[in-house]
Amino acid sequence: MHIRQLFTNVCSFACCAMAPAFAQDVSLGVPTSSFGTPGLIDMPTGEVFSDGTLKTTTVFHGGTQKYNLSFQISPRIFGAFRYSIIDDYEVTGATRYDRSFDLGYLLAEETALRPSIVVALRDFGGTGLYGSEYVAATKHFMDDRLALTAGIGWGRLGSYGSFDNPLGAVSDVFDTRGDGPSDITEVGRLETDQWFRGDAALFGGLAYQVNKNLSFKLEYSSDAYEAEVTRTGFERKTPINAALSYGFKNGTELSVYALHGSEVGFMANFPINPAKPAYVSGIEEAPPALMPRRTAAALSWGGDLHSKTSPLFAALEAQGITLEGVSVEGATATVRIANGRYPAEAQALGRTARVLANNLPEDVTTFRVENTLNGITTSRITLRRSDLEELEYDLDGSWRTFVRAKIEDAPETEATTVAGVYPKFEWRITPYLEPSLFDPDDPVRADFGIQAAGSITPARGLVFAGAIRQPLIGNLDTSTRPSNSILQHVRSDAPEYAKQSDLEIKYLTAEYFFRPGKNVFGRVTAGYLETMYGGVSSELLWMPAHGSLALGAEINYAKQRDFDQLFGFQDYDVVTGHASVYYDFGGGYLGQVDVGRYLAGDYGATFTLDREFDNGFRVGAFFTLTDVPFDDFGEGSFDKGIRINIPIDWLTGSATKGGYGTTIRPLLRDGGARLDVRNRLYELVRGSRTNELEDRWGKFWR
Amino acid sequence: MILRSLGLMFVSFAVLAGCSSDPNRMSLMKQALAGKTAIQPDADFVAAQNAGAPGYVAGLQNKKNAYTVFVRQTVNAKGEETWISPDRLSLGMKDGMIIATRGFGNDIYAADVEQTLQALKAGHGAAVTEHFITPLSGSSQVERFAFRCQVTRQSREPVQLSDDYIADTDLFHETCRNGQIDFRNLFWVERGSREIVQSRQWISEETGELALRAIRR
Repeated sequence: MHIRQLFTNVCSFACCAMAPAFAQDVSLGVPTSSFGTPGLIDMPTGEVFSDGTLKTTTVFHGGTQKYNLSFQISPRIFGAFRYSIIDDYEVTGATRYDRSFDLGYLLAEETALRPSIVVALRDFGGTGLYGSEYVAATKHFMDDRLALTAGIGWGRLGSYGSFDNPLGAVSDVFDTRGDGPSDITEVGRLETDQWFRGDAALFGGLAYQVNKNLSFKLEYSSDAYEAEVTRTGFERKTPINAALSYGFKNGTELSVYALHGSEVGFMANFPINPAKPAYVSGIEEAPPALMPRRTAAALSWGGDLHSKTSPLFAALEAQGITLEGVSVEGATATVRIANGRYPAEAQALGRTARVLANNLPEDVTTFRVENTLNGITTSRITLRRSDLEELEYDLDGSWRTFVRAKIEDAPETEATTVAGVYPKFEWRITPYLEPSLFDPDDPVRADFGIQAAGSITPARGLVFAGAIRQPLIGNLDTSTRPSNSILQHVRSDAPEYAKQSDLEIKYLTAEYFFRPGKNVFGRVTAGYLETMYGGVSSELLWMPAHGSLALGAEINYAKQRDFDQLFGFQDYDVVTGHASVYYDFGGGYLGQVDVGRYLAGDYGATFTLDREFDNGFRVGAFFTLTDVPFDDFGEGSFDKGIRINIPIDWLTGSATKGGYGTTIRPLLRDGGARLDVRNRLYELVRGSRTNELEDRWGKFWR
Repeated sequence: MILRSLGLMFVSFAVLAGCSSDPNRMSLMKQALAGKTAIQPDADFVAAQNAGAPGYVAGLQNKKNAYTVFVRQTVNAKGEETWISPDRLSLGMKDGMIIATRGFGNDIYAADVEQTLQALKAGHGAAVTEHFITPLSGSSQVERFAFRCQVTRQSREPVQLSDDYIADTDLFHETCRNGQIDFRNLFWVERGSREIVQSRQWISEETGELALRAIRR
């Protein structure tokens, strides 16, 4: 009955709309549902966003707020994280604060005859508030202006107009749906006994692009809003929802919608394409021009190369590159450099090569450039002067220079040290913002303040560094929920640190970086390692110059710091450490598994998958399973989260190292908590290894 | 000099970046705070200008008041020239046609313009050419655009290059398309010398077109 009604609606609308002729060049976005995933209003569609799309979607209707963050992880897989606030939802009449995750997969792409088909899980690891599964199919018509969707849903999407699960024909297990979490401590587990089980229902709808900016959506919903109707007084008068959306050129879309004939909702979504920063090729100064070769006499060659007063030193310094060592033997020059400016090592390399060509006599034909990490060498890249000259404006110059460059490990330097480079001093005074999310009393808390950081590097590899913070304004210290964790409070006392501190030592460490052998890197860090722990941390990393695999081992002794974050310690201490496997899957996908002992003494493993775009923008997710039983862990059952890192140069277009990173955890508890020591080796070394150099080699000639 | 008017971005960046011993970060902040105060002209630019190198007045078409000057810094063995501006943008040029740009934000990595250049030099009324452009994306995933272009002579036009020099030129249109992107370059080619004395050339969809006029001293 309802189904027929829907298709009558769909048909009558489609037939009216079929008549007028439209311009062909309208670029159509994939419509976004109130869950932030591809969909109409509450109902999903069988589409996916374009690869890499990162989208925030904010939704308000009645007493409900939804904040969604969705990411098209690969061309076929999408994920979403959601924070929802629903007034009066609890049986007690209290407000429900809910976190949930979705995951979807594109089973089939649309062809001339076949619709695109998506299978997905909605809220598979939360309280199950929105717990549902679906298969949806979408087909486009009328030059892609009209998209028709039909689908079948289970769980909440199978709660209206439902019928016996057709999968029951396959197996009886599909007939009954599991109960879901019975109390808060069970939340966060994968409720696999619910997936695609119990009654199912059909849903459907359409999206129609009226013109370049305006679109219209209509859906028949299979969501009965059962809990809302009983507890919040929501009225579900009709299964039909409708929305009108206005899209802006940058992809932002604002919508207003009618929900079940009783409420009006508003939705705003902001997409980001991490692959496309505003200034793709950067706005920093042009590189030095490659000048014709000159003789030693013309260059007044022969001064002291190993002093900071040499023209070569000055020319590199003008590019933000420090010349730490140089040797010229016959036709080969070897230099050791510290790249202080360029996020892409390839860019530092390209500029160094041109400076060498412009400052070394014509008979020096081979340049060997050693990259460094806090003074210790990482890789050595050999370039021929004739290749630079040949490929400067070559249409394929990027690729050709890369294949002609020789990249090798550099366990020891082969360049004579330039006097006076060490000691190095650096300092920085910056504002900082430290947020704390999802406390039901106040879902967004933050401190804003000022941070002073400095470092002294007396010799290659040895760094003394510290940072102090002074919070200026904020409300991190207003939390009134003491930790209820039954584990050692290794992280969950975070509010105490905010409450009991004022001027605080963020970190204060001595670090030593060294090369124990070929392809092997070492680090020892001692001092106040992070906000909550001090101690000693040591690490070894094996990472060949070529290849996708790296292995690491880390062992730390950590003692919990006083809540005032000054010099004192509490009683708790622990030996913690991990063995790590890092793998670069190619295409920007980086995987990492860390197995070991965590801060609360629990043993387990952390699984991380990141997608890194060539420009350094990174989106990833992780989860940790340890021997702490889910019940002991508490709400959330295990540690998990998503992390986003945006490079400064992605935002500004100027060549500046560093970025802004954030990790969003639904809950920060004590199980599976890792020491947060600075300068873990993998991230430091990776940039000068072949894979990463290749990913960003387009910057060599920039 | 005003090509990089990124006021808001810099200000927000300065707030984020704060003060630092890193001169790169500091200069960004100074620019942000100083607004449109002139930047010290680049030393290579000054040297080339003092040596009497040829120059262009240049203007970005899709940005208000975005004018600067380029002078030729060097020519390589293949006749490829590098031109620089006081604020250190650079152009790769071949006989008046742009083959590379650096510092515009969305740059041309390299271009092969040989066929159009030959057509302009030959000065025929019409020719069909291929024009290749590799954008500078910074990624290893290099994409290359291959355009098919119609080069047609439009009219004979005088171009005033200085107070006392008016060049007698033929105006050519180079209309290029590749299915997704269309653009049209304009070239004013001086009769006799067959030199491009004025032009308007497409760089990228985001950067738009750059207008160049030779400086005659």
